[in-house]
Amino acid sequence: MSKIKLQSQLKLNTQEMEEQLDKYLDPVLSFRRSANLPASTMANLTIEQQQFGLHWVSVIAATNAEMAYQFAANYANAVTCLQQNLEAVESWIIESMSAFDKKGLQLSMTVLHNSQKFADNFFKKQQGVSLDEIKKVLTTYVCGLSGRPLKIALADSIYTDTETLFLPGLISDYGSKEKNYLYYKLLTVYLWAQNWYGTWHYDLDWTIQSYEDSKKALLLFHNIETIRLLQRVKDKLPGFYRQISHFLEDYHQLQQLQQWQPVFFTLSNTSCTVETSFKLLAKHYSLLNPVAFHFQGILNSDEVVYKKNQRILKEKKLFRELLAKISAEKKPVQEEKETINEPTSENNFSIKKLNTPINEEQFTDTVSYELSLDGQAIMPSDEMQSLISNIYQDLGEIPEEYLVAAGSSHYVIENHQTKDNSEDVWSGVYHERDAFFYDEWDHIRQHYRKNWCVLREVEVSGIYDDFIQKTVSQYRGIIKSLRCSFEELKDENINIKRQSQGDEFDIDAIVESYADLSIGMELSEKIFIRRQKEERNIAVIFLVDMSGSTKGWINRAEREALVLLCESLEILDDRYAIYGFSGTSRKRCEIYPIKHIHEDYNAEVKARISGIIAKDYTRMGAAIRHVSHLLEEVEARTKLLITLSDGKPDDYDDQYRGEYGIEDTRKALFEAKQKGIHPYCITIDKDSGDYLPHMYGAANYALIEDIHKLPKKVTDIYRKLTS
Amino acid sequence: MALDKQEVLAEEYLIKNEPYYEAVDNEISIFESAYRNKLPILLKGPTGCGKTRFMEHMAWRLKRPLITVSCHDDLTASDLVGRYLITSGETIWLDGPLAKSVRAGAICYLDEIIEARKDTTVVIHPLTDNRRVLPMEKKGVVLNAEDEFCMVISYNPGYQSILKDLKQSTRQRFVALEFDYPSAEIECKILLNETGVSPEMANMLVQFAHMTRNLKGNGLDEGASTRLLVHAALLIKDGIDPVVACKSSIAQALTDDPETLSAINELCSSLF
Repeated sequence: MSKIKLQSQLKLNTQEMEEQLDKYLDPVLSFRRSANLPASTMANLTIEQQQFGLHWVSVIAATNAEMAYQFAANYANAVTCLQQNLEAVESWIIESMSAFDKKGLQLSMTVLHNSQKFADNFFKKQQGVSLDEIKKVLTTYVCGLSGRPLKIALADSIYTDTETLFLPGLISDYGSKEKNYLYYKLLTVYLWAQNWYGTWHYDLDWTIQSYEDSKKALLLFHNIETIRLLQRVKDKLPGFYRQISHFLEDYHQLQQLQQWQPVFFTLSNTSCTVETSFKLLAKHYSLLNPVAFHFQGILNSDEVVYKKNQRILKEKKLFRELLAKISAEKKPVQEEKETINEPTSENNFSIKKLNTPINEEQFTDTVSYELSLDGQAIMPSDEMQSLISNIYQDLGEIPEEYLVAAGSSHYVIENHQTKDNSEDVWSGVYHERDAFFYDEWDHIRQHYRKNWCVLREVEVSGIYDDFIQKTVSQYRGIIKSLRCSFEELKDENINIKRQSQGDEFDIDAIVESYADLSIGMELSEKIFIRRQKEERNIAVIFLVDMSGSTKGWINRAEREALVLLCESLEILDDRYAIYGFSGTSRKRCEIYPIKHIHEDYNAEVKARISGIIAKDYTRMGAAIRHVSHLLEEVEARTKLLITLSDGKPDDYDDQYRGEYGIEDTRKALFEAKQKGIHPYCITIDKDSGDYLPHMYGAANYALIEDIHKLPKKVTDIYRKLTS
Repeated sequence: MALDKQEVLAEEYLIKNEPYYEAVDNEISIFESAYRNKLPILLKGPTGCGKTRFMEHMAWRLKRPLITVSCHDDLTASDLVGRYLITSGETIWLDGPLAKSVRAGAICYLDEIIEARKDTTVVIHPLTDNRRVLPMEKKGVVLNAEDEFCMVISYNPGYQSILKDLKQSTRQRFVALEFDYPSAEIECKILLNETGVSPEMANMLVQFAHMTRNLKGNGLDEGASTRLLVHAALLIKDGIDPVVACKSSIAQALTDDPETLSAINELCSSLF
């Protein structure tokens, strides 16, 4: 922007504007299409608006010239639609560029051509609340309310499938942000109530089918259920009900209608279940006409049935497996030996509700269950408790067939989630599932590209060879001296002298104080030695460059450095992890776990170090974001992220090479610092002086010119960094 | 030190009035039996569920002095056993709380033992097996514990991390009593007794506690403890609005994460 300012401090006329635009739009201009039209619209804008527009034309042209042309053509109109608000115009530009990133030119043009639509939404959003903003709070909120944890997701209509609450993406109809948020809360609690108060206990379609007009029956049932649920909510969450009552106008109006009064009267008793609603439906079907409450959404029984069946099967299996586990634990080993040849006798499990409320309705939400085996009570584990509560939520009871332990006393808890093989992503088996998404910083746009990099953790196949052994024997002398120097770093007792309290006397201080006393001075109290233990509390992740350029000597030196590090670090209690990184393009960033932070330095880790091979490119930003995310979850006073690299960030596409990659990496490192992580880089790139001080800061990198010295140096550097 | 002096000292630690405690299970009879059989006891359970109150109650019940040490990571073995001090030109020995309890036949309660450094906890080993002795290295004597002496430690398994775990060699010496938050009914009763709030308010507070406990593992490490409920109830009794009382005495005490905090605040305002 500053460059353009320098070029012209005056307002440009059409011709001058056209000249400026020509510079950027040249690739898409022809004798049929000139920049005259966009230039003429932009000529009417203020200097500031012109400069702003030209700046963005240059930025967009760096991505795509056609998009830049379309932007220039629609810019003046957008400025008008967005009420001269350049911040709003910038959001419009970013949305169109994100659309280009995601779906290509076609979609980005749709955004650029519809600035009026964007403006409507934008101003709505100013007072509206989007689901993204409040999803986390609502998810936690609904989790606190009780019942199985429910997810919250975006959908066009409002409904639940008993595992997820589907809500609209934006609510902006109610004047202020607070009110719109409250409306979200109303939808959330209403759908939660469907799950918690048993709307889905029975197969709805099957029950409704018996009515002549099943559509009407369904709508009417939905109304009656809504009344029942709101009554229960009113009872359980009186504060919430007060907050949302102004949204319930049509509900209150209905309450006044004479033909609806019996329904309200019956349902005012909060012990009513869904069966009451079915009875009321049968009784009043012909008398009542359904109404549509704006917050009630739809009853999507197809999805519910599908989800519920899946879950019931899974939970039944899991429940019986847990029973098998309990019975295996309870049965003494000896007894098992004796009965090994007999067919296993069935265990008699039974279950009952505990702390049944004295006062019928008082504690219905906090019931716990007691399980007994052969008459002996067992307190179910937390996992079991929540499973039982889930089953109760679905079925209202634990059926007899559940209480049979799975397959005799041998139990196998299978992994219920089949893990995708990360290699399958390329054969089209699955796409972007189980992957981590990271934003990437675009320094030209000065914005993040949302969820731009797709990163996966890929297993390194270990090589069981004599590499480690050879390295250890080759560097025997060095390892020994490194170990000695690391020994010095270990937790030490520091004796602090002349303390008023301590474990031992400080003889010097006593002698002195007696000397003082003899000449009439006061006896000092500070005559003790206190031992203080300095604890190292360090967690470190080593991030190793596995790009193609490390092939050969560098790769070997890296591996040797890791061996020396591990051998030395075993002396200390520092927690450390090693990850390799590489990848091709933003869709395939890969992290190779060599050693997880809580893993021991065992044979497998050694084999993985042996198995480190040079792979593809160096998209550093995503890798750094991933490991800082891992390091963030570790509790430690000092957190270090040390990168071993041989060059600049680089990737398959030209874009990442050069300034873009450096700026993204710098931003990723900055994010890490904000998380309390100290980044440090060890490199063998002789040109690193050009970019590393910018990325890491002047004191936070080390250049090792002689690759052969890498193994020893890395360990040395680590020692210096942490002492 | 003269014996009668020790007795006077022990007197200070006697609990004279019955501390209110609501038994949840058979913990009282197990404790009494362990005490009769001179077995050390380990209390485990989440914070604020009544471990310390239980100890006070048991000390009152057994009519033994209770010497409590709150462990911290600066606690050394000599802080427990004792040390020499210099007064007016001569060295005198001062018993630490552990030695005091051994001599006086008191109940020694090491609260949050896990906070103490690992080497400190080893000091209690000879006291917690059949030897029941306390070697005092600096004095070169071995103290035999009185018959009435009892060793109790407590810890919160919720804190468990790789850094803070009780060593097997320590934990396998104790009769363990597991504590958890009391059932809703008992918790209400506790609130009524401790604070005198109305039964409806006590019931609401307990419901709120359960909501926060549902969040364990979903934003919170632990839900609201009974102690926090008592705090909130006291504020409410004193005229503070229930929503404000819960926000400041429960929600803010539970987390600093803004999103979890606002979810808890939402739960709170939905309830009251």
